[in-house]
Amino acid sequence: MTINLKTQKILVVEDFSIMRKAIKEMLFRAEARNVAEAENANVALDQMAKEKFDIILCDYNLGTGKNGQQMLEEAKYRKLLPANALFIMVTAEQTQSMVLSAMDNKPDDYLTKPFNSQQLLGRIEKHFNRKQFFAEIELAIEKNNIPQAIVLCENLLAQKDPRTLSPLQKIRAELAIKAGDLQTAAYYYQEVLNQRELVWARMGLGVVAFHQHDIDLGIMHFQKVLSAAPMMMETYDWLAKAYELQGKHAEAQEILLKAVELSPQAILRQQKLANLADKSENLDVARVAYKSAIKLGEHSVHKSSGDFSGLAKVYCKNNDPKEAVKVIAALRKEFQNDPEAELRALTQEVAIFKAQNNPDLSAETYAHLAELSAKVEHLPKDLALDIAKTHQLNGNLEAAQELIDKLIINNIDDEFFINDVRSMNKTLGHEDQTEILIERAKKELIDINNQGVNLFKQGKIAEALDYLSNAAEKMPTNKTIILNMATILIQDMKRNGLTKEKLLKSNDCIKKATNLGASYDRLTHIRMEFAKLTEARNLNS
Amino acid sequence: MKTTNGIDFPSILAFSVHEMKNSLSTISELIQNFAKQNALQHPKELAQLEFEANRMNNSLMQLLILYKIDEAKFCPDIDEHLVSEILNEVLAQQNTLFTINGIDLEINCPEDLLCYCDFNLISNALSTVINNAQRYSKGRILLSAAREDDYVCFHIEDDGNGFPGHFLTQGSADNNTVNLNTGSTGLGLFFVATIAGMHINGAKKGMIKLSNDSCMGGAKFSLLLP
Repeated sequence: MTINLKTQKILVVEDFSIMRKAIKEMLFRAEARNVAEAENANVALDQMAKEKFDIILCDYNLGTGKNGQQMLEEAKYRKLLPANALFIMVTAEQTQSMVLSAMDNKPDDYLTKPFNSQQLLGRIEKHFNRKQFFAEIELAIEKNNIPQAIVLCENLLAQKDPRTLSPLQKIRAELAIKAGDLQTAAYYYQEVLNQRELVWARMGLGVVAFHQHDIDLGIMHFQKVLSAAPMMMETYDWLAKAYELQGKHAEAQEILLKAVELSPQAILRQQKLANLADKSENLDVARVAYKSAIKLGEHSVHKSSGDFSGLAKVYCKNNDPKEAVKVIAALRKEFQNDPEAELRALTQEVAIFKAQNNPDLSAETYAHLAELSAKVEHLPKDLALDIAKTHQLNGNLEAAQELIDKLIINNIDDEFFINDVRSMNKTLGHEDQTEILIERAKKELIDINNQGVNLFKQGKIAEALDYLSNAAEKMPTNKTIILNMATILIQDMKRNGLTKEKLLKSNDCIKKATNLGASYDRLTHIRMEFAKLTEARNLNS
Repeated sequence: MKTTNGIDFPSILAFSVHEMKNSLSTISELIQNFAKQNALQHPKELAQLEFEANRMNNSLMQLLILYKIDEAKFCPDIDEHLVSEILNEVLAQQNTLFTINGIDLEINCPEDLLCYCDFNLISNALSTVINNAQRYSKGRILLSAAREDDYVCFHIEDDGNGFPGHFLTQGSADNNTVNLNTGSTGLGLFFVATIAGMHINGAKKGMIKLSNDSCMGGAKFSLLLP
């Protein structure tokens, strides 16, 4: 046994006390001394927030609250899980693991009940050794130092050990994707496939093709994955994304429907399906998916007031305002003191009261909505669009126009959303005006960026940054401006040396752009430039 | 998926299995504790207990996986694995019984042998077969693996009396010929043959072979994965 459990901090999460005791005894017999226990996910998450564990054994089935998968999701979301920690999910049956699998939220392994101490320790040791082997690479990835991770990975690959070849090829390919080096990624996936048709490598080729904007090829790979492994759930998400990008909304919806039928537990997938179906007026599908998302949201970090208002909207469209009222009541109960949720509730109520032939109450609610929405800054864009529509339907064209103006300027580099704005205004008969606005916003964005770049070229770096910061204040969710700020900061540091403040600032910009969903091409480029800078700094210090 | 009576059978099945697995876990843990304390007083009874617990667990697992296969909700999760790690897992699952029964298990496998398979599925399948082999063995079992042409072959050989004749005539290359009517061994073999057949490489499919060519004079079970 190469692992010494004495020094490992272990957390056992299991609702069944006899089982918890049994697992603890197994660990104690193997010399483990630092074993904490939790009977449910919330207790476990609290403990993880207080101290960093090395090994977490978590039962999937935790009784009434969050299940193990939801706990893992939340732990990752809240960054409570150290990069090199081992997370083993204990399941009652082997087939559970497939249905659970969700993108980015996989445990290191699944262990099926019942298991004895020898099995448990064998599993821990196997993964511990694996983690040790990849530890330096993982650490570099965590520090966002992709170039260094690549060097480390290539060094290990050069050992040409057949036992570690394919996991290294996998990591190398994933690193290449992170670095924007898609050709190298495709090379390594193909190397694996030349040996054996493995679904993860085929999947990788699909993702590469997707990023290379060869959507048809990506779809081909994804379909090949599904014909060999219909339970590879994340493939459905990629396939839906690909269809959506091609404007094939019916196909995207169909593929997600298939996925939720096989694996109904993934909340993000249910939300995606609900939104797609909602937009294409497929009300029955939207209703079922919103309901599922609400149910799953009960114990999930991805719980959203948008699912409630979406469901209310669907009921309203179905001429069932009574049900819609119930949903809004539930929304208010679940999201107290949440201005965004309140705005969502009010927006739906304006329509609901109108449908109930109560124009006075509707008007009163609308007035309340108008007042409150003016006070809340940074509305989520889908909500802002709904509010704009409500303004318009209530004859307040000026307020509607103002909101839409802001939305267009802020999101002019988000083609999907601009299309949503277009289709809304089409139903209201304002197509021409919208197109003028869109063109104007496009031009304005180009002018702002040109001006920023010009100032930078003239050596007026501080002015350039000030200018872009001002512009970013006006359109805080515009990815292009934020990314250009990062670029200027990085170029400046390349020429004039690094400062801590500038590093932090550019890192902030990159994070912000990532959260806003900036394009893969631009993000990887800037991330790599940034990593080169920080690497140079590490070498010098 | 609800029946006319409003019973959501898959959920009930999942819930019941979860309960049973918890009970089985507790039983297994208790047996292990007893084995340490009183192995000398009641070795036979303990061995029987452990064997039956294993068998219940194997039957449950087979039931569920075959049900999912039938519902088209199952596919093996195939990746590259070290064969020695698979054999270690099998040993870990069966070790209590070996110890109590005083069976001498020999493992023979090249250290760097790799195999494309579903790790959990194949180790469970081999455990099922070994659990049965112990009943018929007189004291020695050999678990080995090696590359043979385009297949990785796992062999389980014992020193018992060998398979009865009607087993040998039916359990070979074609998985569908495995006869379910030969009791629990039959179901186990049917299960192993079914999942072997789900391991595919190009035109080649996994399979099982039964013979009495054991180097120790008893039965020989072989699982071939492409």
